[in-house]
Amino acid sequence: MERSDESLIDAINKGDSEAFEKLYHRYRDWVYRLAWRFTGDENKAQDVLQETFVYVLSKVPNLHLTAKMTTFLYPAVKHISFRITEKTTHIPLEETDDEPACNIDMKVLDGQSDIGAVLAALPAKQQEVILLRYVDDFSVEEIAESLGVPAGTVKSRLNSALKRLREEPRTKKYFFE
Amino acid sequence: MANFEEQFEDLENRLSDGFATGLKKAIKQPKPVSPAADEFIIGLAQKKLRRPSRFRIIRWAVPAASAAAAILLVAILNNQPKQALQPALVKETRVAGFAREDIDRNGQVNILDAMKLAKGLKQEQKINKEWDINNDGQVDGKDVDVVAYSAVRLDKGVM
Repeated sequence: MERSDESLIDAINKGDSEAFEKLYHRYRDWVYRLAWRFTGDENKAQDVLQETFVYVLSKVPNLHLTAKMTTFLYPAVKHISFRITEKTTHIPLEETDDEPACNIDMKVLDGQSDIGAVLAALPAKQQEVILLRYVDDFSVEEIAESLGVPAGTVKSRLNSALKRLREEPRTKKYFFE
Repeated sequence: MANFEEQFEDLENRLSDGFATGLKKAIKQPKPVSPAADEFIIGLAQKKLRRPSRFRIIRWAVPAASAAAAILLVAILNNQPKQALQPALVKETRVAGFAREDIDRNGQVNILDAMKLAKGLKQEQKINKEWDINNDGQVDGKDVDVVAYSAVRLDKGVM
């Protein structure tokens, strides 16, 4: 039977490096793909991957999960990607009033696909909740926890995004009447 | 329930599974993570996590050892001229006011210093002689190990 994240973290806090290795391999690909989405660059995504798990290690022996592991990792990956991208390109990313924007790098989107083209045209915050909900399979509550915003805000952003997708001829077909 | 919440739930109920599938397909896949990246992070974890188990001994042993070390240090210092010790220590451990392990010169020794040194070696940049942290005449992976160890060691003190 597969050990739970909580059990692995408990072992890691006691100095079990094999438990860390298991946890790393469990979330490595997700963290890497997420970083790839943010940065659009495989080398930078690997840097983000490494820094993210260095951050996890820095929390030991006081690493505690209060939510799902992905919910814990998402803000770290986002923050590190944001910093690395900003540092290496010297182009300020879009900032808004309440939180840094999350721009999916357009290089990772297949512009030929209907969904890719429509998603690219959505505001950054709407892109983010759509990706978390339908690519990463987060619940509304998990998205809220990851972004540090109320669940109502997440629903509002999802609602706005879905409305646009439903009105857009290229993505209208994904909605039942 | 707010109006937009009802609207959202209605819209999501009308959304077909094909949307999520199509969205996942619309995102290109990167090449796999390199084995070197895996090795770096796993190696680092082994270094950091090895020590708690090594020190997972009777609790009183740690303060007792610290006290013994302090007594020994006082005894040694009392038998050494201070001026003869201090300049050598400074020369060996600090460069331009920074710890030698502080590769990025930001005033802190952390794991980013080890990563920067490892990356510098990997990219075969012009090798900085100051990066010969272990004083063996070469700048190589052993120096990265020393920096990584300094970054994650329990006392976290930078000499």
